Amino acid sequence: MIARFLALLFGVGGIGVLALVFRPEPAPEAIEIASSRQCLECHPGVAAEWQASHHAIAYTNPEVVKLSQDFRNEECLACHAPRPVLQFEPGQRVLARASERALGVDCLACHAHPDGGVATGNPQPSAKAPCRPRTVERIQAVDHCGSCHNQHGTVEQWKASPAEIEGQPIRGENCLHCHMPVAWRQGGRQGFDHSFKAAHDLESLQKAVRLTGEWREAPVVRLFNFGAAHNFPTDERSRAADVQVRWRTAGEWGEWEHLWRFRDPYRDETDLTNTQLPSGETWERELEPPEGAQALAARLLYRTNPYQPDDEATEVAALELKP
Amino acid sequence: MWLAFLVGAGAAIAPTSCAPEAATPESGGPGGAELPPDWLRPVLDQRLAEFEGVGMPAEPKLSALELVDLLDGANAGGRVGRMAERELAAQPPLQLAADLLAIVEDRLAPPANKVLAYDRLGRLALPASLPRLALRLKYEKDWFANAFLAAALLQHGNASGLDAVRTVLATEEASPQARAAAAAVLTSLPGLAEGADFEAQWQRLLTVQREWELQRLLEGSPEAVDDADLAAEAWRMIARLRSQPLRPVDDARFSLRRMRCGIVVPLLLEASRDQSLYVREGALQTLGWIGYPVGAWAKRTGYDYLGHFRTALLDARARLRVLEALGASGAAAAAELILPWLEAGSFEERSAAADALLRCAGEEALPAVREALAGDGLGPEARYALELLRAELDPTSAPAAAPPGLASGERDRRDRWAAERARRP
Repeated sequence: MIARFLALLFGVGGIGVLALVFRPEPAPEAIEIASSRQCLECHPGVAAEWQASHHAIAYTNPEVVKLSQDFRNEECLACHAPRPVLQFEPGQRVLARASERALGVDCLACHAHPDGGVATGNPQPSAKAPCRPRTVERIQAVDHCGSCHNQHGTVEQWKASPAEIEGQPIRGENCLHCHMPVAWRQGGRQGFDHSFKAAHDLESLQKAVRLTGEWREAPVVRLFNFGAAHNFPTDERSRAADVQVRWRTAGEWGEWEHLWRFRDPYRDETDLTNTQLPSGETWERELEPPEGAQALAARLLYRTNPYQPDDEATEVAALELKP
Repeated sequence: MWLAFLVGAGAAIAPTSCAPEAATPESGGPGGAELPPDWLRPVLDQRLAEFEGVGMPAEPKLSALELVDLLDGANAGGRVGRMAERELAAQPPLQLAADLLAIVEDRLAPPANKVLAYDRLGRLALPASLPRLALRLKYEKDWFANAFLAAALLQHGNASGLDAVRTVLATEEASPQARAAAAAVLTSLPGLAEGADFEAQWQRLLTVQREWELQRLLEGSPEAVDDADLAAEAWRMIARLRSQPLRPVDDARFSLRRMRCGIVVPLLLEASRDQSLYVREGALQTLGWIGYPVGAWAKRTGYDYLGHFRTALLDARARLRVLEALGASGAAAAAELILPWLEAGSFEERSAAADALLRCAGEEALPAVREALAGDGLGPEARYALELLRAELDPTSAPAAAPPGLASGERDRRDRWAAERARRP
């Protein structure tokens, strides 16, 4: 009898101890999110990626500062220091915010929920996080990025791009497919890379286009947009990609010569036409070699502005052809 | 620090509807008042419907070639000139103005053709051509053509083109032809004494420009123009504010802010009640960009500018721009409407309120400014704006120092506003 009582006592006590040990911790109090600086404190991994991105320097990038006359051109503010995109209808343009503009395209620009708290693409967000994230599918949609990035038609170009190139899926379901690949963070947590690699990243450029050629009757140079599900280059009209060539004669290499520019010109450059290379398309040019030519070298330079000198441009690809 | 800051910051992301086009009343704020349900209306659609068929025809009648031939002929004088003049006079004026504007708006048109067209537009002086003519200041690159554009605008009582005239006259690279055309503009400046020499003309240019900058009104010009065709064209320009591509929006803001206050401010105030957030935002922003002349216009005309904005401030979605427009008017009385948002607004609203106060507040705002600066809930822009204001209102206080996190462009913008305070209406 006593033994049974003791067993019962220990049993009940044990369950109680287990309940105490495994009791779910109360969720910390929800905080109101007023500034992206708060996000950076709790998400150092994402913060480090974002700080390396061009979103983070959207307002302070010297090139942008110069083009916008240090933002005296206030029309630039809307996309370089935007209010939260979710405050607007999908795909509709954003408006400028009033504070902390130096943070550029900050965390709240994409993640602030219009009803307070934050939005995430994570289908199972943590209910305990003080910012109380909520799943909002729209945050991963093309139109979410399109609020700013369709001003120059990039989203429309994406919609018109082929689904597959060389048997490989090219478009994905959204911009994240290429610009926010999976990233592994501290503790083995999976997330999406917030450094938004694009035209400022050599590897991304090399994944977009391929420079090829051959020399049979005459040398031929080609550029194939096999990896960008939009024009190359795209977005800002300042972006330019140039193919240059030089010849080797009598054992000596000559100077680089301009062959072709891929670019959507500024509106007042009335003598130029749009030469961006659409997704899946190939540009080709046959060249006439000079007398005694022994070899041809070609290179593709990417410029963040059309006047950028060669030595400041990014060499994306180079090749050498011989007869 | 950030947790402490949060307590005061409140809802930085103003709880707003996802639908910018929604006309539902929004919450008030510090006062707790609600936006009257009939405040937001389809203003723009109503006005566009009202002015359908009024203003300039959308399609040109004469080809550019025909028209340039006529203009050339008219300038030739003699019998040919008289015939060409008769032909031009036979055109309906609105149609002719539309055809002339089509020439100057053609990016590929040679500057010589544009000069002819600007010259004729100036002589026609049809008020309806003004909004599109003012927009040409954004796109006209040729100095010679710019001188004729400035002259045409001057015929409309608009001094916006005088910047270009001044530049052409002060630039050695300008062609003698362009400099001569620019010098000719000086002779038609309003209020210029007869027989004035170049020095007197130059001084008059500076005076007229200063007046225009402060008042958006020229000596001898009426405050407003009662012209249905002009109103129709101005509303069409305002309609560009709701465009999704930004260029038309920027074009509209550019043109509207360069027009006489009596012509555009009443329309922009009306547009600031449109159901579309984009129209409200663009209209308010344009008022803000016009700046002190709006306050000067309200003073001259006795318009209850503050009464309009007392209600407009209840529109949570457009509030940041309402605060901006209020402050930019420079009216010291506006501070009374702005201060509650500095004290109890969201993080964004406090920033907008601080900036607005810098542009308009007098010394009665000093206690509230001091109190706000003693707290934590201000972003770098707001803090710097208030420090600049305090430094001016209380010379014994420490000089303003740019706080960490303030971008250089934002510092410069506020320095500029502080420097402009001496010109408040």
